[in-house]
Amino acid sequence: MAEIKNYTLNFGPQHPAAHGVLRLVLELDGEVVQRADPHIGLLHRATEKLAEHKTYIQSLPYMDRLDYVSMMCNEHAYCLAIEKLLGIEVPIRAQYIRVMFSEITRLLNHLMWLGSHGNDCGSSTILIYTFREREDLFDMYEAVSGARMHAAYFRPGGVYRDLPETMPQYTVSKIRNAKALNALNENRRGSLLDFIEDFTRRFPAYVDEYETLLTASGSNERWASAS
Amino acid sequence: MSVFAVQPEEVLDRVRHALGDALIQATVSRGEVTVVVAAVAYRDAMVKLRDDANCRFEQLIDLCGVDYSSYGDGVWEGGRFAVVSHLLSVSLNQRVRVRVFCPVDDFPVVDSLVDIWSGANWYEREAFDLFGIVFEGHADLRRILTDYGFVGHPFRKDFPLSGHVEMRYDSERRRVIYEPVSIEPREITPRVIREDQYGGLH
Repeated sequence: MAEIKNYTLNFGPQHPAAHGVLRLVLELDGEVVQRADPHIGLLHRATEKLAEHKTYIQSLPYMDRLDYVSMMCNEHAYCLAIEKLLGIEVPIRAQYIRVMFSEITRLLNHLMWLGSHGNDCGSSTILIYTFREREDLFDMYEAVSGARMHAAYFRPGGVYRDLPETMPQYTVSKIRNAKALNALNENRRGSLLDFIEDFTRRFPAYVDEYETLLTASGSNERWASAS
Repeated sequence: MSVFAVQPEEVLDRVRHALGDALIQATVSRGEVTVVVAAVAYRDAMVKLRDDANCRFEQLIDLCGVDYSSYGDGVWEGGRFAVVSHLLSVSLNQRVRVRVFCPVDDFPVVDSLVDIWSGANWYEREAFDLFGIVFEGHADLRRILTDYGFVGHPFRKDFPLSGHVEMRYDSERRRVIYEPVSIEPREITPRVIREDQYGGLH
């Protein structure tokens, strides 16, 4: 029997199967990874060092960029730390707004995970579905802060401003007729809170769609049924 | 207000009892317990915190270096480098923060915790990389975050924010080259100048 030697393979830092920049030096026995030496620093931006040279509010937008799929959760942790150190009591309305937007961020995060996980397993369709819902959540971000990802909305002591009374609406353009425009703006007639409530009513049905896409027989069956 | 499973003062009593003479200083601030231990007793103290029946800190949550050289605008008298660990006991639902100062400022060395909590491995590599703190007994103390061939320890207070070298692709030599930094550090923090008696605050 032929003797098979282990061999060393370089993976990354840029690789189509990786989502960020990660370099792995892998030692393989056939197709089995025996050892891995991860080189993890390629995305390190020394945020702590940058924050040392800035005021507390100037550092806040960096928090969006630490984990860039849970932007407001990072802001929340940063603000809570400052408030704990200074002994600041945050107004109850601001606490509700912050928890609500941290939860919206959590949905954004999980939708990103589920979609790209399905994509990695070969179902591009699920990615399109979860990103459809992410659009609505980004609209909530935009309505409240003006930015769709790096919101910089929280502040030590509260939030940047109160929730808007109106939800921004789609406007007339040459690619949308009146009927399509009406449908798009259907749930944007009221305030931001009305839009969020409408989303919470719609969302359970979307979760069922994801499950059907990933597990139902006859579909791609990306997740093999355990039972 | 926070609700505690175990009151911080009670956690401090348990830690104080477990550590004995190794404990140099202990504080409870904002509901969090911080203890300072002596460098010589650091490893033994951590083993006690993990194994003592009233402590049972099974998990190392975080470990990092701290540079005190510009702490409190230069009034700091103690050692320059400290290693700070955060421990969690899941079984007893309590937390503690442990700080140990490196005895020598010019060559900071403390014991490694890798054989107590294997999770300390990368954290100690990080503290070594960014602060130059050496962990005695660490089997694989390499840089972890900085670039290949990086010189210096970037999170030390005497390391400039913009670094020492910058990198670019040189089209003549057809490779990436390093050169001394060309940018000047900028002052961007706003200066707040207020007249006396502003807002009746003083």
